[in-house]
Amino acid sequence: MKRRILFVDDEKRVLDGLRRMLRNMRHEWDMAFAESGAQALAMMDQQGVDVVVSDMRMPQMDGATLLKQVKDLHPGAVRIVLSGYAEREMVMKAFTAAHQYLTKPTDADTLKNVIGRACALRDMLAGDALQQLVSRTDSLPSVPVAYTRIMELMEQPGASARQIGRVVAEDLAMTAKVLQMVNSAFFGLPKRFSDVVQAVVYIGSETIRSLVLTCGLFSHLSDNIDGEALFYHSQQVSGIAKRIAVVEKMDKAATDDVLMAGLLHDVGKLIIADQFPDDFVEIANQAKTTGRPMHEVEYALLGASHAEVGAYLMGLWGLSDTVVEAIAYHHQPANCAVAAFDPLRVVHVADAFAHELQNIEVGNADVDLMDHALMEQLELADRLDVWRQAACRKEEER
Amino acid sequence: MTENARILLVDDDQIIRGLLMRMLRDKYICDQAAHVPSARQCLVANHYDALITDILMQGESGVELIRFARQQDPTMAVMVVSGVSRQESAREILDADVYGYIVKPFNQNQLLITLDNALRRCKLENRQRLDQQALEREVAAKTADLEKSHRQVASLMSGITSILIGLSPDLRVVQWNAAAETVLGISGPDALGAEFWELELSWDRPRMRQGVEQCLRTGNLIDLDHLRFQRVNGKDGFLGMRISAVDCNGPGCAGVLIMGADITDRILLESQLTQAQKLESIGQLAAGIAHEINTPTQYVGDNVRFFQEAFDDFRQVIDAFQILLQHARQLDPVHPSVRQTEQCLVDADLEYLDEEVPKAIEQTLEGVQRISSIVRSMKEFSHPGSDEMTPVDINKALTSTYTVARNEWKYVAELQTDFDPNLPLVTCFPGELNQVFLNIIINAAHAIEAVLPKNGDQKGAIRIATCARGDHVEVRISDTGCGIPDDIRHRIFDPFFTTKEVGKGTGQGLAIAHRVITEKHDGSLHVETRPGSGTTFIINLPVGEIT
Repeated sequence: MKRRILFVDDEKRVLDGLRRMLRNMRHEWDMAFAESGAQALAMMDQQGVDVVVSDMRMPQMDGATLLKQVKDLHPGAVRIVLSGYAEREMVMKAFTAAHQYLTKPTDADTLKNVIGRACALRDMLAGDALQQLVSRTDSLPSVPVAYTRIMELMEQPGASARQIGRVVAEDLAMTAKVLQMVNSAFFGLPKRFSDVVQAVVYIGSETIRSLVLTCGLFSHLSDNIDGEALFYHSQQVSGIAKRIAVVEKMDKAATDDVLMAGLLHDVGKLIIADQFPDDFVEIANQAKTTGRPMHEVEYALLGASHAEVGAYLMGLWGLSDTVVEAIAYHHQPANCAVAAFDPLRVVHVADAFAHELQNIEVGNADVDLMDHALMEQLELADRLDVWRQAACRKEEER
Repeated sequence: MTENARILLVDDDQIIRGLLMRMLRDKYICDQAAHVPSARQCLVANHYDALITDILMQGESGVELIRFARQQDPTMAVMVVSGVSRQESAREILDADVYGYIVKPFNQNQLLITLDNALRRCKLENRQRLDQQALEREVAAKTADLEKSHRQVASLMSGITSILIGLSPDLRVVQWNAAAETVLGISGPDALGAEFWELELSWDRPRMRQGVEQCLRTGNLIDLDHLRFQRVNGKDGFLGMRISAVDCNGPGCAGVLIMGADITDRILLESQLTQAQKLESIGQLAAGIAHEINTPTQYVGDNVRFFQEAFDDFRQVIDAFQILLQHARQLDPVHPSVRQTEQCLVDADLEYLDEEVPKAIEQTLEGVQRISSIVRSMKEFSHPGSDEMTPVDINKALTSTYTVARNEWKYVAELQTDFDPNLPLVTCFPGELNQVFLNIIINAAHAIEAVLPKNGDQKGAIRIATCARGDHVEVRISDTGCGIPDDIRHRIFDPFFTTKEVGKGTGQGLAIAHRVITEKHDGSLHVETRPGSGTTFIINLPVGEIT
């Protein structure tokens, strides 16, 4: 099925240029062009779209307003900004409305790549309802304690970026959001941040404050999920994954990916708890009574697991393919086509170890999440002990 | 009018007292006392216009009483009635300042006339005394006023922070105030009396001389603003001076008054302000221009990409047609459409197009790339709205700076970079830091230009290197230019010091650079130079909050 892409810009020449430049995508994409926000909304009413690419500065209805309406009226659509202006205020206006930002001039390959990824993500998550709910998520719910602390800090004009960063680092949702923001195209950073405290310092306390207070950058969690336990687990997986990466002498980029993917691998649980609160309670109960892993119950009930849900949103938010892949397939690494020991496999192993350690603590050694067949296939079975030692040694030191 | 005056009569002889009372009581009010102590009491208790006393009395003498009375009331008329006429006594009595002296025996007329005279004289004297006192008071008040205004003038003069120099008509120094001493470094005693042009002052002497001469010739007020001089600390500075002519001894004989102040700090402040405003407006302008350029750049790029792909498609079509033509040729080489097609291929010079069109497109795309990188650099360089400290990638900042300054160096130097890929971000004021890099790069280009032979095609080199050093980042900007001579090396960071010709340099570039690096960023700026072979500026910046 052809994906439908809608481009919106008040400058007709830009639309013409895009239409010509993307001509060779005509077999995969069905492209439409609108010269105003109103026209774009009318076109979407007639025929839905998968991806909207909009300019920011337009007469009558600007890009931020348009994308906010798209979010409400067509929540499933992936929303991308392509703007000649990169002023912070402008980006902040669109922050919760857009999934990604591109600045003019954006070359052909980047544009094709970003739209292509958005389309590919939609294939990953089956079901319109699920897609719509996840696409609508602009902030992840935080642990109430952390949320209260960050809001308190926001009220103190003297709070330093470092102080804010430390609070953010104690919460999964805030960490995910800040990492998304700092690594987005708008900041145009030559290097990637995987350390969230540094990221907050880089963004600056003023920008964070205005985003939190005016755009609802953070929100807080309903009480149906033990956010602190989830955060502890995420940190544990991230830590173990990093140590395995160190033992395997992976390069810096891969180690950063491993760290980030480890931290975010269960981020989908937050989305499910937030968007499907009833289902979430049911899933937790079934998993407990039947002893089946959560993701299996999620497949049965929702048609997708927290892995795909989390990967989908992180993909929409523009995190790198490697991280998105690692989140999506962390339960079934064999399903991913690339057969190598990459960040995905590291996260898978680290997650299995973390569950192993937890099961030892609660005296339940039955659940084994490790894909041993894959380990055999990758000839990594004999490395497992080395990694387990590295993981456990450090765990004891904690 | 002496009637009703009140008189005290003192005599130890009761008969004399009674006689006196009878003689006087018709005209005057009289009290009497028989000896000095009771007379004293009367004097203390009452006011008397006159005292008439005997001299030789039992107990104390009349002379004592007169002294007492004088003290008590100096305006009182004192008369003596005495039987004594000896010379010594009279002298003693006259010394006591009496108004009349009657020797016993006396008659009434004699007494009345003498008393009347005494009272009149006394009255006159009293008025005179009062007048005198009033006069004295007035004089004292005027004197006090005068002293006060003297003091005011003096304190005003010493309080003048402006330089005040007075010159006599023959141009000798007659005034040289404290401000002149401190600012110009010559003490008052050294200056006063000296010939003005002989003083060892390191200021713009020709301009000063021209000013003074013009003032004397025309009598007009002459303003010398921005007069260069060397401050007492040896650094360059500016004076703002005003020269006026003052009449000394009538017309045609004018002296000169020179007033002014060291305005270096003010000019420095003004130029910093101008600089900041300039940066701000450049920033706003750059952001606006960037947006204006980015939109057409987007569609120019898109269209060129389209040409590229379209041309590939065309070529495939043409290749197919070529085969078709071959085919047709074999069937009928002289068919008009075959001929026409062959002619068309020759006219269009297909081979040339085949070769050049892809190149043209390639170069256009490269040009679009370059435009967008310049626009990006321009925006990053000017960094609008960055009045708070921000973490900055110094490598990127240097790249955008040398990109925007390309026009300054591209004809004189090759630019080499050696950037440390692991450089940490530096928390800084990006706009101002970029300005520092720009100043140093432009200086480097100028230094190289100075040693290159004219019209030659040789080029020097500018090398920019970065390096992480613990919690510092080091930036080295080197050139192969003329270097800095030893004698001015210590002055290059001084404000207003410049070696460039008038109009080319403000002498502010390196001074601002030094201030921005050391004061605003707590870093350091050093120079290594060898005259004739080049200069390296070494900037050290603390990394700040991010490590």
